[in-house]
Amino acid sequence: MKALVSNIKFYLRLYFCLLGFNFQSRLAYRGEFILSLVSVSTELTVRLVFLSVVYSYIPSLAGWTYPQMLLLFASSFILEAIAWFTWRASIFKLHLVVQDGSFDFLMTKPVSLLFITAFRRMDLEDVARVVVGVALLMFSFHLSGIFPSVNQWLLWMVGISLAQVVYFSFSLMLKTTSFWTTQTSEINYVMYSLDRLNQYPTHLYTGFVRFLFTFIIPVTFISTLPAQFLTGTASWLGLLGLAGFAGLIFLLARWVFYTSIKAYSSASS
Amino acid sequence: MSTPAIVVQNLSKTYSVTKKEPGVAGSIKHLFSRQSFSTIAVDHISFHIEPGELVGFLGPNGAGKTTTLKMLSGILYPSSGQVSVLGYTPWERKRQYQQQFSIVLGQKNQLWWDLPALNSFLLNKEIYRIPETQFNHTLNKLTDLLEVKDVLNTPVRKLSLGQRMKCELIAALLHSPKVLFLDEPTIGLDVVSQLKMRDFIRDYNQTAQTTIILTSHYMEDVEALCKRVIIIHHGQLIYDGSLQKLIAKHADHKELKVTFVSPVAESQLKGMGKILEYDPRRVVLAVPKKTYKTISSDFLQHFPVDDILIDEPNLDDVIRDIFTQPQA
Repeated sequence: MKALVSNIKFYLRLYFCLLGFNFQSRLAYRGEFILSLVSVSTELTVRLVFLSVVYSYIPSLAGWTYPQMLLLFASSFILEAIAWFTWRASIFKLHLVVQDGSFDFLMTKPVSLLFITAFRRMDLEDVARVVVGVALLMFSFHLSGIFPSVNQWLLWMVGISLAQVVYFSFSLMLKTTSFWTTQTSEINYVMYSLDRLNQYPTHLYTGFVRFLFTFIIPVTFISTLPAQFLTGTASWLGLLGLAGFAGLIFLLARWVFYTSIKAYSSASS
Repeated sequence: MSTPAIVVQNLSKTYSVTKKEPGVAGSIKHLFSRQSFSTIAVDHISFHIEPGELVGFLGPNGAGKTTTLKMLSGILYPSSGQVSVLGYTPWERKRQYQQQFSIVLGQKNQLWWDLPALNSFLLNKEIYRIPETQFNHTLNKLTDLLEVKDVLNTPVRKLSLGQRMKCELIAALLHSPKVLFLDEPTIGLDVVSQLKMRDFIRDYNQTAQTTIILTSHYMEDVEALCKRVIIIHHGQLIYDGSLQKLIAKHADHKELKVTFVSPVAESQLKGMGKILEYDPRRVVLAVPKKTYKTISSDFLQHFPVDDILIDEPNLDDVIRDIFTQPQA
């Protein structure tokens, strides 16, 4: 137990150390940082404008009203923001460190290889996503006049955390192909397009497509479920299901990762 | 006799490589049907290294030196064979092992490019769980020795190659590793930095009693630092022993450098020895050790000699000879 606590402390310190360095590193190029902020904000605005246009024609989409859909969008933005603040940039750029061989150094460090692989790089301009996400939550409560209970908020947070695990595990599995092929920047386009799916409710899809997006390519439901805690339409069963699924997919991804590094061929020097 | 720090037995590594014909047609063909070959990078090598030894790893490009070091570091999985470093199997990547060794790859960097080197050192302090006082003490000592105190707060991308390599070395030594792998640590450095680096490595090996394997293209590095060398060629170990014996064994000749007072035709020098360099007024010959005395006196008697110098061949030539000899 004591060892566990000291381990958690160790990794937290390491995370904040890396976060600080990334912050300094990003600010070393101030112009680029500001441009990235603008780019993220533009992307979010376009997504929101499109949504409001759709809702100007129809009252609800697959049972989701406009304020409810805003909660889903907000959940999706916050989910992405946390991802960018933690693992996402590192996993996206995994093929680069595999290509140039700097993965060598990660492999020799006395820390969890998965940890140092996942938390090396963080993109801080995505702070914009949190700001917009929170603003959307507020706007949605303003529109509907319904403010969720403390209980709902707690469940939402648990949901977002579990969703993060699923999101991470799935992305990790896609990117571990880097170890086999060395070049997998193309996978990033796949990941980007799948991202676009998670801001719409699972209920939009039916039959096989829904099954596919839920279990085979588990990206759509990861925002839907947490958002449902805020709209009050979620069930405990859903949360349990998500928890079980998150646990399984994480173990699977971890196994795939550690098996794949055996194929790592390093880069010659 | 203490137990060896490093034991390598029958270590092999085979890569599978696909071959592609040149041109667009070749690329398209490559997409559908691939011919894959296996290349043997390291072929059943075995050796022992005692604690505190500083051993030079020699071999031409692609001989398998770096691949071997990477297997000893747990970066690559071997195809077969056993390795024990400090009692650990490297590719199991046990924390206890990783805590006790370090690798410096001359052509890669572990320092954060956009941040001062000090940041990378601080990160390693966290990663290796180095206590504050020990960290400050080691950092002070290393930055003093390598004379990089004043650049610690400069972003790494603005450092010169020499400064950067010194910082790379510091990053690798902060946790006081017991085993150190140095892969081309002096590559690309100017003569002054190269000498500094060399002195530092020698002193560090002596004072800290760190077991070091060094690969370098610069024979001077190896000559200055290593008593023992291991030579790898085409993935196979072809020599393991003292550097002196190597030179004695393979350098069966001496170099005769003769200057003349008046021009001498190349044809006149036939039968005197193997001509390495020729100029009408100066010639460098390789002559067998057994006959160099008679040949020297022949020169004095029959040629307008101004000066004769008798030299040992340099290590570069010895090594080149070994590598150009056909493999048995």
